[in-house]
Amino acid sequence: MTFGLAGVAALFVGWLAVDAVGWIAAAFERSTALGVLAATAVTAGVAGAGAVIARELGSLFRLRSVEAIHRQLADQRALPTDARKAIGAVLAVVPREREIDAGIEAFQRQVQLHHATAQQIEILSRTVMKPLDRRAEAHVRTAVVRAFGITAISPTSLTDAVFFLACGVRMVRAIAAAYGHRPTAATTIHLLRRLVFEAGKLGAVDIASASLVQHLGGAVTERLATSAADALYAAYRMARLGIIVMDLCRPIPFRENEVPSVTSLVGNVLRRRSDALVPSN
Amino acid sequence: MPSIVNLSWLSPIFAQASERLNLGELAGGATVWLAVTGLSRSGKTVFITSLIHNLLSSAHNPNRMPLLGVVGERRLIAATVEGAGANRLPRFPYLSNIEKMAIPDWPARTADISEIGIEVRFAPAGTLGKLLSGITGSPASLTIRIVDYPGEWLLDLPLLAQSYAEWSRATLRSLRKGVRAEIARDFLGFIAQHRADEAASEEVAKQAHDRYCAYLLEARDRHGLSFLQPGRFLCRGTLGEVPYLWFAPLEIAEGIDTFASHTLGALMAERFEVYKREQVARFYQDHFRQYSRQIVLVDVLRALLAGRDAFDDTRLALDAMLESFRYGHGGILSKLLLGPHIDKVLFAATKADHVPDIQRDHLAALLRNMAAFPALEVRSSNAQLDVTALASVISTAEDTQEIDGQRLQVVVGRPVGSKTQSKFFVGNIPIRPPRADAWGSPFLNVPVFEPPAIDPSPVEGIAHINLDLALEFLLGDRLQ
Repeated sequence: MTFGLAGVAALFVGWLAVDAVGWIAAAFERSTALGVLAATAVTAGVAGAGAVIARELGSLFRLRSVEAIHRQLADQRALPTDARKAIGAVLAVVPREREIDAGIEAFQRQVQLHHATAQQIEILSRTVMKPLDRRAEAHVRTAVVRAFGITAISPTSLTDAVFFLACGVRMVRAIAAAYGHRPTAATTIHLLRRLVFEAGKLGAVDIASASLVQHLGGAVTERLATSAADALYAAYRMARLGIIVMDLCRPIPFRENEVPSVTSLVGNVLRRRSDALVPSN
Repeated sequence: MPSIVNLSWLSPIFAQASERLNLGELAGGATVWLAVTGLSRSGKTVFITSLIHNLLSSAHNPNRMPLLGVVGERRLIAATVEGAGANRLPRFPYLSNIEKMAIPDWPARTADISEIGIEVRFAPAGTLGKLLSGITGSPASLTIRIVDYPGEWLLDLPLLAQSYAEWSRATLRSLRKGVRAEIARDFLGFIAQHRADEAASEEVAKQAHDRYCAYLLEARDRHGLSFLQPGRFLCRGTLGEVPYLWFAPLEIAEGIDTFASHTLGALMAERFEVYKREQVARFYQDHFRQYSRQIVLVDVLRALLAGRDAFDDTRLALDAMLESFRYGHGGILSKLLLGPHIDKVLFAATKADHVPDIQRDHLAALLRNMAAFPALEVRSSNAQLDVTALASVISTAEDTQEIDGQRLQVVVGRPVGSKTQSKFFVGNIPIRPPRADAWGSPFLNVPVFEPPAIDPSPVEGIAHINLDLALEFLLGDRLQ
């Protein structure tokens, strides 16, 4: 498959190169100045494309190395010295802002040579990962509110799906950026592929939870609009997806008590909805 | 009109129930009694001092104890040492210990019993705690009460279950084995000339006692032995020279448990019973009933290096000592009926800074092996148990040295009183006791490294290994 794609890419690049050379040659035939202009334009275009490709590949490579670190640190048998190196690599990729820098400083002051892998991860979680998780959760909440609102007013199932997808892609890019990844096309596509795979694993559970939420929605529809039940379900699913994306983008695995709760992420939505329905007089 | 139903029997029961359930705690903060248990020179005093100093410093420098949840999660508001109030026991000399460590030197060997309370005020993590805190307007608090006593006294507790005759027979059996036979030669020779049924003589009893004490001192200080009874013969505290201490084991035949009046055996037995009643039983009743958490400190390294006899002795002493504690995990009804029990026990191999990092897990594994039988007892009572390696104060740094052509990990520190640093290579710590033919010659000169530069003000804290982890296991649930 890779060989086939490489062949197609080679065909495309070769075709463009031949076309470009021909175009420059034709421009030179008309006048030297035109030829120079054409050559400059092609050079700029190639350089720009190269920069974009390099950025895409660089961000994808960075994401994959962070995923490798994630897998390494998820293995409790990792040696403390290896864990230290992996954590050093994590600290090199997280966004450098005041709050995160303070967390990094606290981590470096707290971690000692005698700390085992699990202890180093615990300290890292409390110092550096906490502010990053807060930001990622904020993006998930935003996406949950959007999913709830858009689904509530959306006229058809098709528009539901389109808006949900757009919301989801935006959430993936925002969460990736929160954890220090560059949200380029390559990283977004890579994350969406992994998200579909991970979310698919939860499919059986989702069907059961969907039924439950729909039944609950059925009880609630006596007071609220019918669409609110669908909107709540969309919000719930967006929250679930958000948590999965957080786990994918996070440089270190979630510890047991760190996984955000869907209830807390969706709870805000319900509160806002209830407040909106209470008549104000 | 007189009451038909006599309810006078009810109030003592309510009083007892209140005491058992610590109902007074509901009014103003909880209290947990932490049993710091360990044989002589296992590091109890330094552990308590380091615990207090690091807790007090955590408000200023949370980076010392990041793995204690209440500190790592930034919920700790303050920790203070409780006022002396009207406590019956002398106050644990935390301030003088920390000033001694700042010299630098180590605190003196514990000679008597003392007590201290540390009040920890914190923001609760749980919903219920936050609600209560919101209603009362004050943060949650937990008082940690610790009693420090000479480790030797713990070996007296098994005496409560023995008569003088039983104790004499058991002691003399052990005195005739291994290295003890050599150390106790003078004492054994003396009692061979004096029978239990001879006429009582104050002078003979005193001489037997003095010779026996000499044996105990040599066994402890020169041979590193631990199972030495009675403990107060080695460490009298404020007891002084009271006559009921002047007893020693005698040769008593099997089947004999009582002695005719005015015999040497009767005199010794009477003194033994008074000793148990006045010292041991009182010590147990006053200080062991309230413990709910326990840390057992064991100097595994010293026991290992001191040779097979000392190692087996330490194991024996550990087993005997732990039989006296009440373990269990029960609810309110259990506490009401049976009183508090220890529901969490941590076995800690101390002085972990004397071994390189790569060997510390071996130290913990060796302790797990040593404490296998008491651990079974603890687990069967449904109490939680864990094992770790710990250093209350890090007094060394790691280094490498070439030994016999190999680059090996060593620790380096400044021995107390020395001007220069010296390196200490402990060898390979086994994860289980060596086989009988694999024991090396006893090595008793484990260096005592001086403590690092310590600020006596509770601001920076003291560098340690796993002190915060130990506290999180023991008290983390009470600091939620």
